[in-house]
Amino acid sequence: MAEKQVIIVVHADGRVELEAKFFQGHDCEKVIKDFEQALGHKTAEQKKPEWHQQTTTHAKQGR
Amino acid sequence: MSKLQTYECEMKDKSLLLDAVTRLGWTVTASEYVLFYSGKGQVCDLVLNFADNVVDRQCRLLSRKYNIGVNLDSNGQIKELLFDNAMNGQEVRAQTEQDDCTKRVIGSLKQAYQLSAAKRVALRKGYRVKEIAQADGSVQLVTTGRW
Repeated sequence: MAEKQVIIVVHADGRVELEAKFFQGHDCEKVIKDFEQALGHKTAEQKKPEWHQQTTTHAKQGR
Repeated sequence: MSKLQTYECEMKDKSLLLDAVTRLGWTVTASEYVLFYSGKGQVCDLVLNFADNVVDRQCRLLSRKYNIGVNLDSNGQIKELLFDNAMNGQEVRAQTEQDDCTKRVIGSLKQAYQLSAAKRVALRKGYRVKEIAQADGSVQLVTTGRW
């Protein structure tokens, strides 16, 4: 299994993109929260397909 | 899971700003005049002085001509930044606009600030960080840890 990573790209104009990779379902939320407060105002959020897949799987298991 | 989030830089933390200045090789002086095109502006709590080797592609930015003023609030955190918005000496249409030179200078400060902010969080949480400079001027931080 690939090692969990948080990739932070800081652009030359100070914009930041943060991506949590290889996390399961909502596990990434806490890690992202750690960085959120320090990085300023969030302007965009995009859940990738894997996030939705994990969420759907968890919902089905819970039935 | 994968999630991508984008943040705009809000420089509020004085200590992170000072880290950023060190990273850029700039210096800080206290209670100095901020320098505008027309000369001295108001006295600011802190003044960020560019390194002598800061030369912009377009404007040959002179460290003796411009700097960045910083005023602090009652908590000692950043209240405002003051700087000339046309460091290449050309007119800009509105007070709120910046010319390309100014954008690059302020951008480099914001970038250094955000790198300091992200690395500080990683350090506090015990994460490992690998810094990789990219060809487009951005910097990538690859953070790993026990999650």
